[in-house]
Amino acid sequence: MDVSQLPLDDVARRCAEETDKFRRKQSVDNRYCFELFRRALEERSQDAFTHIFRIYKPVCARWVRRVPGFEHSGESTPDAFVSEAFVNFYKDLQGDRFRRFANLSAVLKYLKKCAVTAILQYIRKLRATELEVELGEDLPSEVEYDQLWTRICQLLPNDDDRLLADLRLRQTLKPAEIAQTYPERWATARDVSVALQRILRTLRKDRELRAMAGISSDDEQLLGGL
Amino acid sequence: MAIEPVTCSRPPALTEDELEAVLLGAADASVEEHLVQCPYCAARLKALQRFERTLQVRLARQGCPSVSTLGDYALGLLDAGTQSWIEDHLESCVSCARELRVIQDALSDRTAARTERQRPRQPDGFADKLGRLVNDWQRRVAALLAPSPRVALRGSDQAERIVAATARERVILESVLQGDRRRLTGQVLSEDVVAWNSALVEVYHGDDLAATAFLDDLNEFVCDGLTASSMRVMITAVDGRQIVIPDARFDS
Repeated sequence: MDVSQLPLDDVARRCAEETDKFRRKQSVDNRYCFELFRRALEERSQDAFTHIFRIYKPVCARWVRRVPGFEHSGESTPDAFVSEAFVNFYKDLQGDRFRRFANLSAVLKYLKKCAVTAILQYIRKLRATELEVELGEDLPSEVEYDQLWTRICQLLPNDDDRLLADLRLRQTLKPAEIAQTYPERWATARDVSVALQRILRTLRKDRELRAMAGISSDDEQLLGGL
Repeated sequence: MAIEPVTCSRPPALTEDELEAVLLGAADASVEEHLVQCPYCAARLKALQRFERTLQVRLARQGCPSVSTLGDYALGLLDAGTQSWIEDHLESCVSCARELRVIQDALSDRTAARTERQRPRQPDGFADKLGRLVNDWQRRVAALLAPSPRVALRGSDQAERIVAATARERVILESVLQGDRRRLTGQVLSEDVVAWNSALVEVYHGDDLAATAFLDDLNEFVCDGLTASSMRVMITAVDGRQIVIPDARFDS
């Protein structure tokens, strides 16, 4: 049977039935769901996408709940992450891009990737927001990351110092995590903290770096006096 | 920021070594006592802390691939050049390596074995402030600007219009009856126009999904075949921002 000739509602009904069978660990025919995805994505059929969303939202919600990090995201339901997963899934796979995916398994794996990355992206953003809250003040306009990092590297010629600056300032790892990851360089968290204070002292002595980073005038006065 | 005194009230002022010792948790009791009694030195200590935090805010995860790109790497979907760049990056980036592990575990169903560390306890009020900031960029419930829909003419059709607003966006919803079904059109108005392009629109009657659509280049959408006059509308942008209109009710 050529499933591409079937009416949309029939394809959607069979896809829902096959998805239910899969959940009950019975053998399934993937052609209907793949065809539904093809119409939703390659043909950009809005109705087909609505069927896909209706059938796969609960599946996607289960994936989201199982990702480490969801329980600490502060979200009481996975719905927002599911919606974000689907919007990115559609953005990435619509039109001709769908043709890269030869079967249902590959398509679902991509949807799952979108679900996982929605949470991880949220956690990245949450961490950045936490840092801003901890700082307690608004910083002036954007700074060129490349310029700032190049200046830091100029001020820290030693490889270990640059690595530590990267781990602490760019990756925002805690001293204990750094010691755990690089025990051959820093045996304990205290070793990390001591090395870090030495590095920060070098960095904050540099007027150019302070200006680049957008240090407030009050802090500039206090740091300049050190 | 409050204006700090310009000199030490218990001279001599603490040295840089002494201030750093406080940050390392290795300061003498006399230094701790000095800090309690001297606002100037306490402000200098805070400036040291803020310097590190400022650099972190400026640099955090800059230069890292997006999480989505890490996912594509896990699925083997990247071109050779990008794949090679990611491999180099992963050798020195613990944070990306961790995220990649989470993605790989999820894709291979190994997630159950791992547990996330507990978040460290934060100062009082921190969670509220963080929550407000997160709400500011993430999820916003739109308030209806008028208690009932207004009538608008659309060609020969008579449409009902509802306008809802968040702090940064306005959403215009228009409904036209077509026989026993309803056509819903809408538009998101925002200064950040591009952010809402291709956003997903979900329309629910109660808990049942009635229709989906995507915003076009003008941030407009159309949903046909709706059966009820009251609906919940959720609009999700590609960066995860979300507008929720919990209860849009049309009269007819």
